[in-house]
Amino acid sequence: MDQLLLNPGFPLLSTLIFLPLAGVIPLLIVKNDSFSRYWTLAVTTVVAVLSLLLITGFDKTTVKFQFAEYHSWVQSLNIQYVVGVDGISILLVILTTLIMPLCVLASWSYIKTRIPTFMICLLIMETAMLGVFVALDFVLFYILWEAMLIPMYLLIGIWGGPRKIYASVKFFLYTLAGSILMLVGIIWLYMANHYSFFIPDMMWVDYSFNHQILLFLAFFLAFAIKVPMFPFHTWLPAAHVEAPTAGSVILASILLKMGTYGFLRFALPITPAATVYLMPYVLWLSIAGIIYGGFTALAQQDMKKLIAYSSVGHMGFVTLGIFVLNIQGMEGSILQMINHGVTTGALFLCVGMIYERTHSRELSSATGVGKFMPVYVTFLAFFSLSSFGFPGTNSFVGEFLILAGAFKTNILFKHNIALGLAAIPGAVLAAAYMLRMLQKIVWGGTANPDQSWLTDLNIREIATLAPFLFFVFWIGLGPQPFINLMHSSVVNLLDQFHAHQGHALAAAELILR
Amino acid sequence: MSTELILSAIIFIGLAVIVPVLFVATVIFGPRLAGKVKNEAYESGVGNVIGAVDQKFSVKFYLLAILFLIFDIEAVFMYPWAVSIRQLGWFGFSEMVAFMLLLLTGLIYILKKGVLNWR
Amino acid sequence: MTRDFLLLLPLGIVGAGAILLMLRSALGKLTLEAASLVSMCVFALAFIAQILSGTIGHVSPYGSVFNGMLMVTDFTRVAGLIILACGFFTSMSSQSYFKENGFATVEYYSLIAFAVSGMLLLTMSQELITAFISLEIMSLSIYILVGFNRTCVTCAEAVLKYLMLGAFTGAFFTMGTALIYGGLNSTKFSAISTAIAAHGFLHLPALVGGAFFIIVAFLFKVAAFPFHAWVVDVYDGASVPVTGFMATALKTAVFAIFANFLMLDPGLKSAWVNYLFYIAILTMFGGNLIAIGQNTLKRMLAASGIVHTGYLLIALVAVSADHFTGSVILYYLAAYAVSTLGIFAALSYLTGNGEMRSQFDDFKGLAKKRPYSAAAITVFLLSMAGIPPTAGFMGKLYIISSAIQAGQVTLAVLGIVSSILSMWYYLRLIINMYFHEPEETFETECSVFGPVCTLILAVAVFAISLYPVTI
Repeated sequence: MDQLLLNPGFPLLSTLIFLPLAGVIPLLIVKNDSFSRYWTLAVTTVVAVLSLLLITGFDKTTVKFQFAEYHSWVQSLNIQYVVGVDGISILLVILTTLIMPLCVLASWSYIKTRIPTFMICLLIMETAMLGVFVALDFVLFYILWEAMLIPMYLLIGIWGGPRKIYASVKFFLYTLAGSILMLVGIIWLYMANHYSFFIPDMMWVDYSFNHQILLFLAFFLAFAIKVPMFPFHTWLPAAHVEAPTAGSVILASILLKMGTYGFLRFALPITPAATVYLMPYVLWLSIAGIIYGGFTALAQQDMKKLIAYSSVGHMGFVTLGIFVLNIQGMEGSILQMINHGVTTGALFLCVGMIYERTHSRELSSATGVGKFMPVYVTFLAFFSLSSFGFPGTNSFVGEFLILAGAFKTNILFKHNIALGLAAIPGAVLAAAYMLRMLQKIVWGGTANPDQSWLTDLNIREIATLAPFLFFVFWIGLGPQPFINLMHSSVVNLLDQFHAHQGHALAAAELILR
Repeated sequence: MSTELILSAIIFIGLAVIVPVLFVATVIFGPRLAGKVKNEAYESGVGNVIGAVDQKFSVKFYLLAILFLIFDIEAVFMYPWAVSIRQLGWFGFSEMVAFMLLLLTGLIYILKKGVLNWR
Repeated sequence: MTRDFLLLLPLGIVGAGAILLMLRSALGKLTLEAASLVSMCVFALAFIAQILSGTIGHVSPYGSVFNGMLMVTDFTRVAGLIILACGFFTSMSSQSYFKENGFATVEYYSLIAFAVSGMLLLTMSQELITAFISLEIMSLSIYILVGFNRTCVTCAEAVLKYLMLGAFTGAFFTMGTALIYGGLNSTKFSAISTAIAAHGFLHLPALVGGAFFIIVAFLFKVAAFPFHAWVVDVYDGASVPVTGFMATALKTAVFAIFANFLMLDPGLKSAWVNYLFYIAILTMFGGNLIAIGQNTLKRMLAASGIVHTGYLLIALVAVSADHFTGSVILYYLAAYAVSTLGIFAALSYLTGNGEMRSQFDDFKGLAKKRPYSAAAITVFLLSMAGIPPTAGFMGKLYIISSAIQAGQVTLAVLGIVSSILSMWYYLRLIINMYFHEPEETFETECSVFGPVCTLILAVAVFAISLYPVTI
């Protein structure tokens, strides 16, 4: 309990979580297409505005969970309704709330059938996603984590592309299969912690080494699939390609972050010794993901697939940054999670806008669009530059910090720059595939196919993309406010980590290499 | 060894000897008179049982057999009850009345459904 | 005396209701709608009586005259509540079902009441002959219910299979009873328990053999692994509400007596734990394999019933025989009953005349034509698959927790793996309902009862998930 900074006043976090859910009710009653669009936009906007109050009231100096609420839920099992944010989760909460209204805008004319149902799915998604980021009780976390699957499954399955059923089932089963072992791990922790599901109590307990390894693997599978890390990524391209634009954006911007958030929130504090012990494998998997994602993206003809594979690479950078276990890497990773959410989300929106016009995602059918859609390609160019980490854009800051962390001495890789060197080609590859796409779209031939009938972006579409561009430059040019928000939490996480990682290893008589 | 055991052993062994002897004796000494009626398999009114084996019997036979079984079992239940009625007292009596009443409802059901009407 | 009366009152109400319905049907003065209302009232009354008896603790009603043959504990009481609720909702959905299908008579409701009375008695049995008689009261009524549609060939096949194999089960049970009686001179559970405590389970060969036959009979009735083959055809042949009733109430009753028997003594349980461990695993995965291959909804649900039997066996393996409360088993049974009854209630008015919509493909686009029914079915399927925040998830959480607590981590992991496999066939129906365009109108001439029943159960799926249980 002393890890919580209880919020005695207005229950802001609960409001953020349950407002979207309450917003579902009018949609169930009024089955009107344009009403449901405006209503959902209004609800998500209110949530976004309310979430900014988090920033104003956030205390950057404390490492406790702020705005916390603590209510008893199921007494007999000792399940509580506990929520709270700290420096690690606050940015992800804000990212979620800000992206949702833009998703509604992006679906304004893209979605043509069963609009109220679509909006209901979006609102339920928002509740579940916000809940996952702020839940501090494991059952609450798990329930929301799983509950998220169903609306996403429907988003892909009902409004998706031609292979939607394959993609949605693969997404559902893959993710579900990942999280099952996590449930076993959660229950084991519950038993080991005197029948408590309270997450902060489970951290820094120094479980025995063997238990830590098993726990780490159980959690790793769930999070690695969600990220997705290299050998577990195959659901991602399928889901991204078939999902409607809003679905792709939510998937890329928010859902993928849950995996990396899970590593930070659970894997490191609960199983520090196992993290150290298994760190090399995770790091090389990340490198493999970076290189693999880059090369595969280079070969894609489908724009959505290209961006999906680039996500695999970018998320590889994020896991790399987390598992080098130093301050630069970790802060870079959290920042890069936000950057990836902004940039990749925006790129999916761009592809969606082209798709709405040409009904094709093929790169070859979008050649030379630049001549007729100057505003559009301006946006696209900025987001592409951001995607490969061009200096001045947001991803540059994140990737720079991560690479700095990778080159720095850490627990295992003393005076060894192999890790950093191995990740460098990923950055180059990103530039290659992004510039290839940009070149075709902006300067490609316009005769075949004939693009002259294309209209440029309308006000709504510009309004959808502009906030993304704003954040691309804000984080790119002045990242300090963002890093300040997370700094004390990250420092505390690493301090605790270094204090605890040796105990179980020493007890298991494993000498640190 | 108790006398009862020896006695029962004698009875069983005696039976084991006598029964085969009797079977063999019937075959050897018994009169064998062939005739049309004598050669029929059953005298149950089913008719000619030689021929097609998949002929259908009227369902009335089965119904009657089942009903017989139910009321037969009722009688079987009453024997041990009747033997120990003094020990069971009024409680035992009321139990049996309840049992009979339940069977009576069954009988009423059967009558009303016309199961006993042999059409 | 009034206390004992109150304890047996639910049984009395249901039995009297069954006889009343039977006689009224013979006198021919009751319409089908009225009969369903009467049976619903009977179940509701009995349910209330059962709740009222809840304040009384662990007692043996009329112990002096029944010689301790019956026992009422919190476990049997809640099992009885589940069974009565199953009876109530089956009557309710049957009312809609028989608007479309015309083969019912008033005896149908009477037989459901008879079956429920047998089940109630079965949960309370503390003696093998009582258990056998109540098992047969239940089974005989259900045989007739399965074959109620006399013109339908699959029903005839189903009832024949079920009757034959059910008779086998009965024979096994009798054989076990005979062996135990031969060895111990008693058929009472308390006597068996004393004998095991005195001599040790494995030193009583007659008891070992008898327990084997009896447990086989139970495994048969709950469709556990080597004895599961009948279930798919039988469930397929029976009419929709009867299938739902069999899948839920029968399973609850048999699992109640199974648990009561197994928890007699830690010696008996520990001797069987290893076998039940493998049976549970094989039941789950065998059931999943069967379910994946099915094209008919009822057959899929039947096979998924096998899988759920596997989960319940995990719970049986995991519970402690020393202080047995059975709350995990009952919670899962309740969660499973609500979801299964719900889906069968929805099917009872959606399948239409002669159950013409029975394949997965027949439900294409249901979500567009009947969004609320489709949403309810989705809720039930997700609950059966154990996706939060439904009752099925909490049930699985309790089962897995108790398995881990008992040190059976392998079972816990395999149980979860199996629940992932089961998503495969549950998703198929959701896909058909939501992701395809409708090919027909799904017009049915049903009464309000079926949809209302579905709605109540859909709400109950969430309501039960909030109800806490101590492991």
